Amino acid sequence: MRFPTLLLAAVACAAPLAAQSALRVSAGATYSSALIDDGVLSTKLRPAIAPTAGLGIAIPTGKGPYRVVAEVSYARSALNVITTTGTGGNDRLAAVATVTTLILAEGAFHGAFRWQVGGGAVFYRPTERQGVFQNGGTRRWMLAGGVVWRHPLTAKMDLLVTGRVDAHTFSTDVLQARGYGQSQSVQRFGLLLGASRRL
Amino acid sequence: MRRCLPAALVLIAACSNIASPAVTNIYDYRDIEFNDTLAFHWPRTLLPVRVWVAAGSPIAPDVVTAVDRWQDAFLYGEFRATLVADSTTADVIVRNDISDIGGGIGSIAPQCVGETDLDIDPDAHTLRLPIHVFMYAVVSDIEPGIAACFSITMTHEIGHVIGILAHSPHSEDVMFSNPLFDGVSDRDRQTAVTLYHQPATVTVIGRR
Repeated sequence: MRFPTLLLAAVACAAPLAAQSALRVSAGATYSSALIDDGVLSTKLRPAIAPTAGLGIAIPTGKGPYRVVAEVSYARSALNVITTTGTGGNDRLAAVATVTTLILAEGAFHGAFRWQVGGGAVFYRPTERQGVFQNGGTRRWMLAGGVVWRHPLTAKMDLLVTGRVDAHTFSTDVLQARGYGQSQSVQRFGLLLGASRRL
Repeated sequence: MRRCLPAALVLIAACSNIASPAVTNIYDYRDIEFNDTLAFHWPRTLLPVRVWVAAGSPIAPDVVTAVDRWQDAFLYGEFRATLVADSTTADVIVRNDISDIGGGIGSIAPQCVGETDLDIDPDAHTLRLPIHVFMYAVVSDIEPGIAACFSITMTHEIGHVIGILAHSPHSEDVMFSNPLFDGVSDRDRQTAVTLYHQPATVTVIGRR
């Protein structure tokens, strides 16, 4: 729980940067589709739903309703092995952490809702070198979008509820070395509850 | 229609699966006894497999290397093993000694001998734990080549432990009866992967 505590401390101690800029912290959960759907071995490798914590900064762009949001989030969950033929059974492997860095454009959508769209990178960091991660982690580029619902709490604080979807392709050095062609498309869905503090 | 093309391409890309290679380069890993096929692999419910080798044994590093090599043959954690300190809790007992059981499968090299004794009942289709592995030098421990012989032979024996019950007919594989290759070849790896994605006909009994 050290990471969320640090995020809250960062918000509380933040010094003013510029009018209407805001620091955001959030926590929630991320669901991911399979990292691998191996049609030959009838096996899927899918992360369990991952507790997620995020930190971001929103900077207004001129006088319009638009903002640029720079965000980093951390999630960690076990890797589930799902076999579809019944020959191997299901299993749970060592956890994999993801660090997601995003640059998003944000604008007004409808009422208290705001849209987000952008891109960035996701870094996979396995806790054990095994299986597809036996040579360590990997970095993948990604596209992301979402909707934010904002509700004022105080003059400086807002409550944020963020729904996020992102997509990237997945492969590792080991998979490529073993002849796995192309890459697996991965979609992730996140639901985050957070707070925004104007600076 | 043209406007839809990029969106359609993005949608197709967003739904594509990785292209898995075909597994074709294998040898027979089964034990055929009286026209009956015996195939064994560790079920996921028994992972990680518990391996015991005496602390300070000169072959302990070879056991670690061999286990790592076979674990890394798999992408989905099909075989995983851990060293345990107490042999009474082990699924696999490895000794730097001559076999006191006999009749096992193994490998013979000029410098060292390995043997794996799997207590398989061909009638009941059961494997009784623990599995015993023996490896010993037939020349002086300081003879040139003994280190390589231990490394190759232990990788070969752990290959039997994971369930490869036969020998490769190819001299480039570590599962060849008199192996020279110090590692797990691509054919060894594909054979092991195939083994773990086919039904086992032998079930594990005893211990645990």
